[in-house]
Amino acid sequence: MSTSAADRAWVCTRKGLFEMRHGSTTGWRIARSHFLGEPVSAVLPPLGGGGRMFAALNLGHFGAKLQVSDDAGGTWRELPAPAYPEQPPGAEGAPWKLVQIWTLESACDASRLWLGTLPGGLFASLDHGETWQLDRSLWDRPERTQWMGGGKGRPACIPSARTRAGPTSC
Amino acid sequence: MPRVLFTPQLRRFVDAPEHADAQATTLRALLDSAFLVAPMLRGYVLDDQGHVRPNVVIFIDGRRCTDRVRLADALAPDSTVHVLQALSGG
Repeated sequence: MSTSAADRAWVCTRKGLFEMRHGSTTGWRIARSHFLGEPVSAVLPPLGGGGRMFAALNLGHFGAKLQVSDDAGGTWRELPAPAYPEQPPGAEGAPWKLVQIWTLESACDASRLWLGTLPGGLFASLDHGETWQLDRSLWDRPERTQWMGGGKGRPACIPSARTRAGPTSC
Repeated sequence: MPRVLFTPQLRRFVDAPEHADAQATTLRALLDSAFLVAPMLRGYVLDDQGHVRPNVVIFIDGRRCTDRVRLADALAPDSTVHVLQALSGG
């Protein structure tokens, strides 16, 4: 779940993304639904309540996907999901393949976005999510092959807007 | 020339042609030609490393594709390729 205002929240579920609104007399209610029936693994609400926002989907057979809305959820379009670079022969550790987008974060001024993934890579975008680059300073750390836990039994990367990165694995 | 047909399920999510024809002698060449027309389709069939996704299955003239990494399976001039989602779960 994520919030961008005291009266609005987004809830990611395996059956879609639900936009919740709180009214003084109605309490919390579902205001809109998005991607009904599809697993939504992460959402980044628009800063300040309006504008660009992101949703990450896990379509199972067809992989992890990234959707963007420039009207706070009114309409959506797909952006190319971040992709790991070509894996060197013999590279140890998890395959260099995007399994799931675990979380999304932005700098306070939206100048930079971060995206944490299974199998543990951190991606950054400097163009509002149109393209992503793997943070090699983290990915190339030799201890990465020892990471474990996190999510679904695999390493997961969860960036914090304040600290930039924080793999949850131990 | 070889033809590739994509499962209609893909069109729920992405702009995918019903089929694509190309002068191709390997599976990868045929798929690459289809992805030129529909670039976003590539990520639905192949993963980051260009391998067939684990739960996608490809049949060439009725036989299951065996080379899911290099996609070097040979195609005949009249080959028909089907790209489907594999049944899974229980």
